[in-house]
Amino acid sequence: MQQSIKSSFIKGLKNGLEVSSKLIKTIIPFYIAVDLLAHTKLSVYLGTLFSPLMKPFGLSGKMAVAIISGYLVNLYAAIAALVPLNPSWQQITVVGLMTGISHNLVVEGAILHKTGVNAFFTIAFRIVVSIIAGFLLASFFRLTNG
Amino acid sequence: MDELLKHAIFGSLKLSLKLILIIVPLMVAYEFLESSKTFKRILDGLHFLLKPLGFSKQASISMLAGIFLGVTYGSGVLLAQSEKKVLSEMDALLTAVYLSMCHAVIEDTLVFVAIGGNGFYILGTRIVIATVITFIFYRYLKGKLSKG
Repeated sequence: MQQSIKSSFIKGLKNGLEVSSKLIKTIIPFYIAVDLLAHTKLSVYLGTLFSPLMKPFGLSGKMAVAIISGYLVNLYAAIAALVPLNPSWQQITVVGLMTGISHNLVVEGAILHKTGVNAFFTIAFRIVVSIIAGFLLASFFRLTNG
Repeated sequence: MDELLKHAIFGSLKLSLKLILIIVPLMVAYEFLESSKTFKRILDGLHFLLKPLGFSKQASISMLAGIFLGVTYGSGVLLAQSEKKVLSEMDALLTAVYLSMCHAVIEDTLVFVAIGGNGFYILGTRIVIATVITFIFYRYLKGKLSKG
């Protein structure tokens, strides 16, 4: 028993550190890139461009970068891109929901493909579901906040 | 520019540290859960919940791995089961549909809670939506598979 507690602890610690190293590799470059980008004219341009698309989700135009980073890479990329933009708790929650449903699409699509389900189907399906879910939750926040 | 870069680097390190402090204890907790008797009880409970959605007992094993550990971590189990052909066509499809929307929920939710999100809304909406959509698929597939 003593042995199994020790081995569980060590294995968990090892997995945790493995995930941490992956996380650092994603967070640091994305965060720095987005934080620097946020201070340029390009970000104003991107913000205006995506503003109408992000409005139904209660997000600012610049937050499109967080959604796209999450879809293509992973949640840590989405978080790294979102935090420098000073989001409200509702915006964090909506991005968490949308990228939680739909993230790392290329890699995970390939994994699910191996289990016999078409990758194109799961990718398109997850994007559609995340859009519906994000819209519903943002609408709920709009209703409850008047 | 120098000041901006310093601000960006400091911010990225702070965020990384915050997330590591959440993830490492969580991974340790996973290991304890996995090697405990509670894990088996959760499995039985989950089967009971997943039955109305059309999942078999075999499928709930992949589901549990996927819901808690994520598609990347849970994929080992998923692939092993799909290779052994223990999952029926219906099970494989429903598992893929549910898991594509709802996996690694604990880790995913906590990292957003760490930066100030509301975990209840993230987790609740995700589970409800995944369950409703899987049920719709089940009804649709049941009709289709039985016809032909």
